[in-house]
Amino acid sequence: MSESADGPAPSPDQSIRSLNEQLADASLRSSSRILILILLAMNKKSTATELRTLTGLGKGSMENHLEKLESAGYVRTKNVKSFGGWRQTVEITQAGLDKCRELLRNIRALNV
Amino acid sequence: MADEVTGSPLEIKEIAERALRLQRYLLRRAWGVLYATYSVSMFLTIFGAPVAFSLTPSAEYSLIGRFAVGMLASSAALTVTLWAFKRVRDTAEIRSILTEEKWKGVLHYRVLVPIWVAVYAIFTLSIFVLGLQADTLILLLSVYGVFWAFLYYAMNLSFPGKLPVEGVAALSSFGIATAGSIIGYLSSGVNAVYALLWAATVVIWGVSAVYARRRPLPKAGGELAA
Repeated sequence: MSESADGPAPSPDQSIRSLNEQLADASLRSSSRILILILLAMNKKSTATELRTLTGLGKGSMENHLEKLESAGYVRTKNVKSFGGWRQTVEITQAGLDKCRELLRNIRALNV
Repeated sequence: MADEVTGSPLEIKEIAERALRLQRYLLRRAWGVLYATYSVSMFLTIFGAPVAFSLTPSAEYSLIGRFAVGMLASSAALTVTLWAFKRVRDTAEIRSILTEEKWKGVLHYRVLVPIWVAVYAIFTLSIFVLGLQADTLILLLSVYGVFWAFLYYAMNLSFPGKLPVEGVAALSSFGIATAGSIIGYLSSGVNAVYALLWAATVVIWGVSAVYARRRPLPKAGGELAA
């Protein structure tokens, strides 16, 4: 059973074009949102608190970023009751996962 | 740091590398949970159950009790293993897009659960049907040897390039205890050596768990922590 890097690598020209198209999307034109998306791609699910700890963002800032990612359909947030009160869970969607993979594939193809 | 990206591929790559550093921190913490669970599981299986059930008047009850505790302890350990290994796989999948590394999908519940079921089926058959109680120890130790190989692979997949110090300690102690126990069993069957090796392993895994969970968050742009 063997798994390797995702799909054939696009050419550098295709990658630059694709990267520019992706970054034309306002929801991805933020280093914090890209960082959040990649972290969620590796963990699938997290909490807003954990993401704030990892990224160093403030509560308001994180809410703003999550709202933008959710509007774009890349994540899904939910408020759940836990022992310590309410907490916000954040889960990456398939669209978010695909977007993240595409972004990283473009970076790999450009060989920076 | 300015939040808006300029569109430079290098900038995106730096963000991805920062995500991988943070993920290493998260994986160390996940492995910390795994070390703690296995520390308790090994203690219960190797020391707790045998001591507790040796006090019962019925030898048969003692054997069933020890087997049940071992099975429950290893079920808990398996559950945590599946949870931790899923994170390892998801991380490797994303990382491999960036680094082109190849990896094998053996850390999947489709592999691990059937192996666990098969091992317990063999144990049940050996102990309760064939009555081969003494020989199950060498079987258990062989299973531990195979498990060590899975752990070694999973740890290298989690932390490519540099294993964390607590991971090295945990892997080494488990490997030495397994190999030492097999050699001890085949040569003289000295229980004291067996007990000492596994007592040390239980302690080392417990300490590794605490150490892993207390690692600080990596600084932005920082090197990988030891």
